[in-house]
Amino acid sequence: MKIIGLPFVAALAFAMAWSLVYGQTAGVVVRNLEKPGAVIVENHGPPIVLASKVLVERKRGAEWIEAPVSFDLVQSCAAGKVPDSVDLPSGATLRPVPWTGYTCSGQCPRSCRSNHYSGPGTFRFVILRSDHGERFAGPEFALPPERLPKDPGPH
Amino acid sequence: MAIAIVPGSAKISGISSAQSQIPAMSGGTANFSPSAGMHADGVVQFSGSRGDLPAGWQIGWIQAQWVETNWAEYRGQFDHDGSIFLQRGRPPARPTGACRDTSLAVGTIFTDPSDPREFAQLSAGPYPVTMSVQTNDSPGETYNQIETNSVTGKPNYLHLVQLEFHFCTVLVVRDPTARFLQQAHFLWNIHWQDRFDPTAFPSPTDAQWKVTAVPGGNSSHASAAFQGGTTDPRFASVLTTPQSFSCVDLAGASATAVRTVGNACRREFPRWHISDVRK
Repeated sequence: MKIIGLPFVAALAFAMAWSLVYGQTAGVVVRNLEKPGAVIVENHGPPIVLASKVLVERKRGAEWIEAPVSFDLVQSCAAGKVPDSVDLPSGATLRPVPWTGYTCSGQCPRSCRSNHYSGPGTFRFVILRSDHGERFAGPEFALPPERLPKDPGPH
Repeated sequence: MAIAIVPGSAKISGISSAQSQIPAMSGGTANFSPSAGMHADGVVQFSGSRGDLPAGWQIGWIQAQWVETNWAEYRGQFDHDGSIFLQRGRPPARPTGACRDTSLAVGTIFTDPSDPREFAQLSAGPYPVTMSVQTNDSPGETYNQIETNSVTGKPNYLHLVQLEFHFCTVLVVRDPTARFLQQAHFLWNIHWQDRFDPTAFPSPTDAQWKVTAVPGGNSSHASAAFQGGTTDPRFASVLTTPQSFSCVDLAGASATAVRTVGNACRREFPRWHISDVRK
């Protein structure tokens, strides 16, 4: 009989315990940071592949609706196409570029035409498994009203 | 008495265009973003009787973009390092003609029906009910600071960029039969034209660029509000008809297209070359 490795058994037990405690089959946790729009994604379960594209949802009354926000699981604003998915190994943490509140260029500079600040409002990030088979919704956060930059003077 | 729009009640006020500013050099890109976004406020008043149901009445904005100038010229450090012209405002990178400018999918018609500042459902009486919405937009663009010239194999540095975006924004009521009733509109635009000179070679940092505004090339304007809808043939046809792509979609696709060597809108030259920016 083949002996199953102890690390595998331990990881399996941990994942099962996590599932019991948090009600998720995978241990992906979305945590807001202090600044509204800043978030980290932690994987306390087995390795998982996540969709790069993140849903940003706005609270309207008692329901959550999709906001037209471009937000990806990218940790820097590199030029070029964002890959469709991101590998998140067990125990890994991902710290995406924070969202500024703008619909189009709220994370990285982009080619934008319609592009406006979304606040004030209540929002949350929803991370998706790459096959969209599972959602990991973060806690809600309040996006404040826009603080307009100081006039830099004539161009 | 059924719910109706009070004739002459629709008004747009507080119009200000987006303001262009010197582009920021950051993360290897030149980023064009307004120092302040376009803004306007709209109000529409509704009449009705006690017991009238407001369901299906919606107030918001529809926006069309009808001018897109969008090109960049890159130059090598030396003449024999070549030059590149990227044309993002013309076919095949971008189709000609106007587009509808939406934040959600283009089929949502309104600029952003998820945002309670931009879009509202008619609230219940007592009538008359005055509904207020506002519109905001900060269009922007981005170009790489350095592109590799595939003809010479040398880095070519951003040298000139010109952007001109012209829009028409319409205050609209949609009635319960899904008719779009245009109430008032205004026109606005934003222009950038800037020159870029690296101050170090071959790999200037973000801080090692001199960015100079081209005189007369940077401006923004907004019209007064016009009562009623627009019939301007340059863009009226895209306001509510089925469209495949939003202006954001087109802009993103155009930026992607010119990254590909061989695309007709990415023109690479073995020497410094002045291109016809109209094509």
